[in-house]
Amino acid sequence: MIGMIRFFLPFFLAVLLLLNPLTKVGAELKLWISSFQDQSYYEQMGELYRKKTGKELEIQVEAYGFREMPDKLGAVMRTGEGAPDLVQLDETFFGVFLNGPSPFLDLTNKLRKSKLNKALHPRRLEVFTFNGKTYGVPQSLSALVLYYRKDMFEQFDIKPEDITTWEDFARVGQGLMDNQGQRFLALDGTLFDSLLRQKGTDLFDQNGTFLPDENTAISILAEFADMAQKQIAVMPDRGSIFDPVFFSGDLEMGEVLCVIGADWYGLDLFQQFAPGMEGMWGMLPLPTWKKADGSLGPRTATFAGQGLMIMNSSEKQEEAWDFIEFVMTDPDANAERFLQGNSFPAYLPAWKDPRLLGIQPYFQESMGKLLIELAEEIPPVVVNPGRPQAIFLMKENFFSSAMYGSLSPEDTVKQMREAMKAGFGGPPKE
Amino acid sequence: MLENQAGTSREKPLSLVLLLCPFLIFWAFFWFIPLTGSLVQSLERSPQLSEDLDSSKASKSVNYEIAIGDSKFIKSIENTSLFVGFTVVISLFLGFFLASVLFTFSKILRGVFLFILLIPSLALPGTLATLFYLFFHGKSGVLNQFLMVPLGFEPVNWMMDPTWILPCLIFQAVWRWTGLVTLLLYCGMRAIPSWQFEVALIEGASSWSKIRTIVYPGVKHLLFFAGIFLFVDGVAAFTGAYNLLGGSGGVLDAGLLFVTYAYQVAFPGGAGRYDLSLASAMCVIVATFTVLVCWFGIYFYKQQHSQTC
Amino acid sequence: MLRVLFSRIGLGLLLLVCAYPFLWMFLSSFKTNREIYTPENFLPTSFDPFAYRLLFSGDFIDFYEVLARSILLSGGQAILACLISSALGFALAKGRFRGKSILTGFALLVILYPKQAMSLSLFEWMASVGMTGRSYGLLLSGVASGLGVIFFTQVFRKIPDELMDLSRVEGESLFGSFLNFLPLVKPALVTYCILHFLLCWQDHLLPLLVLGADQLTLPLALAKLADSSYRIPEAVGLAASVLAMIPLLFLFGFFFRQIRTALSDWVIS
Repeated sequence: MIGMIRFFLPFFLAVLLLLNPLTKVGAELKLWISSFQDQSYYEQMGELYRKKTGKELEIQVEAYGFREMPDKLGAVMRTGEGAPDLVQLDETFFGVFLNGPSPFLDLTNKLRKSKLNKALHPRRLEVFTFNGKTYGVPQSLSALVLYYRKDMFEQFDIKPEDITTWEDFARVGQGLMDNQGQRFLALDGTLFDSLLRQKGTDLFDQNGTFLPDENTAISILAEFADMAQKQIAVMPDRGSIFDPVFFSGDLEMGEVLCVIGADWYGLDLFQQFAPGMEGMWGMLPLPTWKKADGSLGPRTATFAGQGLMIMNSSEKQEEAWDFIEFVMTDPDANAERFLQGNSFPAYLPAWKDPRLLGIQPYFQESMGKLLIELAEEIPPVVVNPGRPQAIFLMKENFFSSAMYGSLSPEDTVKQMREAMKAGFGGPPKE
Repeated sequence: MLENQAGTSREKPLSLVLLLCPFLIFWAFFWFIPLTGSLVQSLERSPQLSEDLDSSKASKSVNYEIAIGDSKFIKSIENTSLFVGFTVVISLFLGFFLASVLFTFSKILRGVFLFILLIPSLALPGTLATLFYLFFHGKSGVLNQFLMVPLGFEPVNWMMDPTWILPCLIFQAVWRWTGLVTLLLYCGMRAIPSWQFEVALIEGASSWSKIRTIVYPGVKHLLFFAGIFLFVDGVAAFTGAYNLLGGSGGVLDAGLLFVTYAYQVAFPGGAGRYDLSLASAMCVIVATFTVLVCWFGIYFYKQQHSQTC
Repeated sequence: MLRVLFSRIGLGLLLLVCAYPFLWMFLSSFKTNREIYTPENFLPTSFDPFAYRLLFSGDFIDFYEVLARSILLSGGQAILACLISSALGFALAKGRFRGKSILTGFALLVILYPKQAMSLSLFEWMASVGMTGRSYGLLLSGVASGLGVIFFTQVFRKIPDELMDLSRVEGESLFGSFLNFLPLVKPALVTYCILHFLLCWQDHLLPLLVLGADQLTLPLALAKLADSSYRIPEAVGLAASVLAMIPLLFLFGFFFRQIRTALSDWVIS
């Protein structure tokens, strides 16, 4: 027995030593972010802030996964243990926290005082505004463009200027399929709500009605399901358009010629996952629909994108705001965000910065110029606590069901409505 | 049965304290209190759901009513039942088959084979999901390249085709557990006295009747034990499905397992909901049901057992 | 004869399914993303261990720390669980006192109540007593093992009552007898220890909830490496998977004979 104790004792000591809670000291502001990519950026910004303002402020950046972060945030909100001062949260998760008392500080007055409410793109500020109060400061424009294979377009003699509407797009795609057996576009469930906005409606209206324009929703699904069943537009074989397997597989193999993505999609994912395809890709405005009066609808819409929030529970709200203001307005901070491949800033004065307008080596075009051209067309997003769930349901369940034809567009909308009713906010409302 | 052994003389209190208390303390602290907590929580409304903040008149069982009326919850229970049922039956069958085949090999080979069969159970469930995704799945994946295409079928998109999602999850679970079940049954078969086989040899029994009359009765209790273990583990299955389907239930929720759904309901990053109380109620329903099923299973098994003995 | 042939082919196929993917995984830890995404390729173009270098470089995670934490957590929990549940198991098998069936019932409930279903409230409870973000909290949360109690009750039942009587005649208390008998069941102790280690090693949900961002265990680290938002080459995740298997392969390989002996002894009861 004593031998046993002697055997295990060092082990226990080691356990105690290693598991002894190591409390970090000296960290002044705790910032939680939901992408690894942004970690080095925010650490640099902490340094830049200290250098430029001369204030002693340590920024402790903790990076979590895209979905892990809201999970963790939900957990600390329940327990109040170890909450951060600042969070970087994606727009698509923001709504989850709008049920009940907001965990985030109302920034409306601070934004007005600092005049940031005028300097940030209004469509992006709206994304973090609910019931007249703004809780987050948008760091990116997140406007969608069409990434397309320049070399293959030339090879198949497709002229980008011929594709202005989704109708054109389907026609060209049909020709490609008939003559070359070539697929045209990669699909993803996250597209749906952006398409809704392109066609003049949204997931919710101001009264909180889900899918207020049901016919439009059905027509969009029908149009894309038709393309999907004709193999013009396809869901990736494995994973989604955000996974490396899509880039190394479908894209590098030339399975499709076009992908739809926001600024960060081209700045970050393309260059990280398909560095070998430099020079092959170009950028175009999204195809759109004609409005009733015959004019063209918006040639873009936004999707996702992060914002910075201050936690209500934080004891350093002033310092946190000071840092946010710095990151949002400092010219270098804005330029770096773009140059390091994070996103195109939503801060309008930065748009004159030549660093944002230059030619991108990867695309050999200027992304900044295209985005600025499209920016005024961006349709508004209607914020609603049910929005995150609606996006999730479409992305994970219903969009692929509709595309593969396992559900008709009408049934998709009907079942989604049922799921939203049963799923959100308590007992089904009659 | 246990009480019979207790004699008249009692143990010293100190001895009993030393032997029983460590378990009881940890049991109370990390099992009983949280259990009570989840019961209490399941009777409250989530403070995050503002609509109910002012209306405290909602009945105590409101979460249970919502859960029962939630078609996704019902769907997840159906899926989990199928998942558990098939996993248990297939794993036990394969384990039994493998363990009996192993006996036709020399002792060294048996050890080597057993060890190889154990490999998947030693891997992390996340690894199994990654391997499934990268190795078996996809148009160029092994299942399509070496199975579907040679047999003349169209390649299947396993994780996108609603009919195949659940079988894939079952495959993963069977892959993981069969080795351990085999090990257990192998040890059980080894413990069967060899004279039983010698008698059978003299009687000229066929190998099938040997299995039926000697091997199966010899390991019946182990099959039962493994079945209970797999059943409970299957109800609680999370990692494999979570990694494979990214926290969703897949197309048409064909692969929505119960714990995944509870997670979706409970946490913001899951599916954009944030209702821990409702999730607690769902957990209480499912766990109670699981305990009851097992308890009845054990009860009937014991009754039957004592009759045959 | 045909049946033997068929059963051998069946065995061969299953062995293949159990071994080949893992061999492929090992080889793929040397491959580029593109090579990995065409799984019919078996050998990598080169055996450059770049993924292992990246893994240990600490750029993504501190892998040494993760490995050490997982080993100490699982090991610590396994040993404690072993001692605690063998104590109760012994008392249930050999002690003379009332309420045994209630205690057995407690242990059974722990097995039968799915652990994941309680993770949420366990997490909240631990948070309210300040145990979240602390590895020792997680370690202690799993030491009351129902499976262990049932296992050891059976194990100690097989010790002949005569030995127990002898021990009592010598004036040993129940606890003293327990300490004396412990070495007799060493294979069972080792076996249960390893099994508990395995279960704790693979646990995902509770560590996810309880531990902080800088306190990863292996399953959490693997999930992090596989998360595409981190832009990490697939090979790094596979390399971590390979390394995560090694301690268990070693444990099982080393104690394989003991495990088989202990299980064979145990199953007779």
